[in-house]
Amino acid sequence: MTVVNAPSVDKQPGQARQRGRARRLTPGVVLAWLVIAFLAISVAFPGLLAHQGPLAVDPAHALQGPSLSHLFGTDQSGRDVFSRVVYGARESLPIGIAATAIGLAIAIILGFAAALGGRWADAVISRFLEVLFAFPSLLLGLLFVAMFGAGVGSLIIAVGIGSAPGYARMIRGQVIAVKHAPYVEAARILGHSRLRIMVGSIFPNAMRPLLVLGTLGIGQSIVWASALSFLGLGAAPPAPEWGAMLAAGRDFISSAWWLEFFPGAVIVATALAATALGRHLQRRMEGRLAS
Amino acid sequence: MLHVPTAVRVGTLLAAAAAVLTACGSGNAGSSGDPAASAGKPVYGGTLVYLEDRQETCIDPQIGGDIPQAMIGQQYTDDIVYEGKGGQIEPWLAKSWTVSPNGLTYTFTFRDNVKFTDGTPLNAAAVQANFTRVVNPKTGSSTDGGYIAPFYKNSKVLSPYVLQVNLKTPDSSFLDVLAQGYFGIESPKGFARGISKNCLYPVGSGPFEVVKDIPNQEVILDRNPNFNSPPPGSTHTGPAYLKQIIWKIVPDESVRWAALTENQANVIYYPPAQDYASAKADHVTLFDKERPGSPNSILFNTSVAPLNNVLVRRAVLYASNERANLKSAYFGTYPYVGGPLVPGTPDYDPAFQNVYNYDPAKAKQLLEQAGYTKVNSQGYRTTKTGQVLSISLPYDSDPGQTPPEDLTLYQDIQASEKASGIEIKLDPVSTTAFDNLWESGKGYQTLAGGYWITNTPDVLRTLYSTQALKYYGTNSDRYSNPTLDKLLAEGLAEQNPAKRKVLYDEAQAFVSSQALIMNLYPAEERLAINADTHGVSADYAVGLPDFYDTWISK
Repeated sequence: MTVVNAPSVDKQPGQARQRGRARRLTPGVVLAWLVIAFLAISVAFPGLLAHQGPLAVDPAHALQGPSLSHLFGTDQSGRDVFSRVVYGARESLPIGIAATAIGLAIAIILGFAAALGGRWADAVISRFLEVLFAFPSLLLGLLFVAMFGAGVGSLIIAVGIGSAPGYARMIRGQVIAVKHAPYVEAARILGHSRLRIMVGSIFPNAMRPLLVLGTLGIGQSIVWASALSFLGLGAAPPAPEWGAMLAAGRDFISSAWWLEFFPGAVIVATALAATALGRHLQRRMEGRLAS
Repeated sequence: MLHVPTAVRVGTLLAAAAAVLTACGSGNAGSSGDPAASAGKPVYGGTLVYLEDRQETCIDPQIGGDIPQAMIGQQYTDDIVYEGKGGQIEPWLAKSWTVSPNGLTYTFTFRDNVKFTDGTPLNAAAVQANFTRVVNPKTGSSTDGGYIAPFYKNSKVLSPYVLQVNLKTPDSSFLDVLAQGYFGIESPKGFARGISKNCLYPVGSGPFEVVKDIPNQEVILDRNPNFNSPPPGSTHTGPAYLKQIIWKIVPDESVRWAALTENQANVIYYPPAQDYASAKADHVTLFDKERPGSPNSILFNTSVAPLNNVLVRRAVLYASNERANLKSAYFGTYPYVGGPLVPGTPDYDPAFQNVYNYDPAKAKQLLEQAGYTKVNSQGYRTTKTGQVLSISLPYDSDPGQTPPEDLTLYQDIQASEKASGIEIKLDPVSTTAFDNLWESGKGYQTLAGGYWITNTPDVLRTLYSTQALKYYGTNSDRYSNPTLDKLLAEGLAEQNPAKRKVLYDEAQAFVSSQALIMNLYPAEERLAINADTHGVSADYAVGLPDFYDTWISK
């Protein structure tokens, strides 16, 4: 098996130039940080940004377009879409982060077991991962939700399981690369226990590129979670989850575009911000490793 | 005694129908209101594309018996009798009939020139086979069987076209039930193929014939060239004008609307309420017809806490502002129905329309009386011991099952309940899980989207009697009370219409006082029709679309 997609730790000819670029903050990265800051405030202090509750209905003012009093307009129950998007960060972001964490946790167990567990374990786990790869991640997620019912909890686990095979394969490759490194050899010669070698030497070195992948993965997980919620498999109404908002607004798309546009734009902005930061982090890290 | 329904009932119906027309504004009974009806003389030919929100896997309305099955069944079957505009029962497949004075024996004489589309003659033996089939519990005919089986004793073929049906006890709604599309008469030769084959390709004697059936996607119906049994309300005789109907399932109402306005469909079911206002500009004719029976509502399970307490049930009703919420969620296109029966149902009593008007002060008082004296940090009422007043509201979240307007309505009701300290938790579930709740009668406190379409006040027995709870499985309120049982049994047996009305008025008062459901709006047949399509109508019994007189002008 070859190492797939893992960010290279070897020195490359273009490294010096890349390092220079990584230190500079591009407008894209600044924008990404701004989006993340907005989301962080939304999660921590939504009241600072939104002046109405996300569930406060006002049927008399339903389906009103964007205005100064309702920046993103109102929905079919007269709720303020801006407030819902802000409070929605509390629903959607933890789903993305928790799902990525679960995906990584499963991946670490499988990846390490495959890389360190001997030929048989490696063969069994690798074939299992290949089978999982045959399913698109979203389909795996759907299968899980179908088996255990809709809801935020199963949504998180579903997206986590859906993303685990990709991470697991990378971790396995990473661990195999690291376990033959001279410092691991050295630790073994010094008579360190297997556990100490694994925890002290292999784990931190194998995991470093995963930090970057995790950041990238959060954006992806939010998109998947929104997709499942859009299909009605996530948060129950009236929760202001972004994907669920998209699903509910779909029926009004011809007359109230703002119900689709704003939640959709926020999902895209969040995924882009997470990706931009992930790439930025990746470049910085490669720079640091190279120096 | 030849067919009976009397002036009292006809009068009630007409008054109710008039009230409804004034109330909804867009009411349009039959092709007479179709602005394009004067477009010229009907022409033969053409294919009608009809888009519907959902369909059962089995399109035979005798199996199970949900409204989409009856809607398609109406195109390929005929009924024994016909319900006219004023609620009177008229001949259809039965030319005439007599009823014995004790109400136990019905003798039908059938037309002798009608054939099913498989060539089998439609005679007394064929109709007998239909009766035998729906009363057999193995058939799983919950709607038809539910109506007929408790009363049906046996039947006798007296001559090739005369059938005598004997009942165990009198059933004053028997003919009304036979006039519903749920009991469309099918070919016994078709039954012989087994239920699953008959589900796909049921055979009737109606104006169209099922020629292709891809379950839950589309059904193609071709014109029956030998059709000779139109119902009395039709505007022409002989075969249908349309050559073919493509009956397609499109769950999203906004997609159906787009298809209609782009002329990719001729008629759609359940157009989005938000588009009613622009219908005229889009050259779309709206066709709304109320369906009699029990209104669309949220059912309360009276056998489990907290809704087993009538004080809590009443409080929930006073706390909800469903009338205002209905208006905004459905853009004012639905009237609110406050009583146990939809106006237009025989013996409907308007006295219960305003019983549970929005009154948070009354809700508060009732909740305190019921022991919910404290309010927790989230604003919900609790008992002294800290039990929160929380009620789950499961609804079918599969595509096409719960209209988006209903979902808005439930959320608005949830918000108004919260203001009175009552927590409503919306619980989206799959169709399978939702059906299971209805069928098992277990595991729910309320059920969303309950309605029962039928043209008799006996619907109260179907929904709230001990008999229905024990034997039919149609009492999802799990309600049981001997006083109500007695009223409903007497109403059903009563042959004198004036006396029957008194009994059913009392029964409505009883049901209303017990707060068994949260009333919302009447079930309606709602169609939107494009400018090229004319002569769409609906039957008067339960409001099923009828495309027999329909024609396309280009």
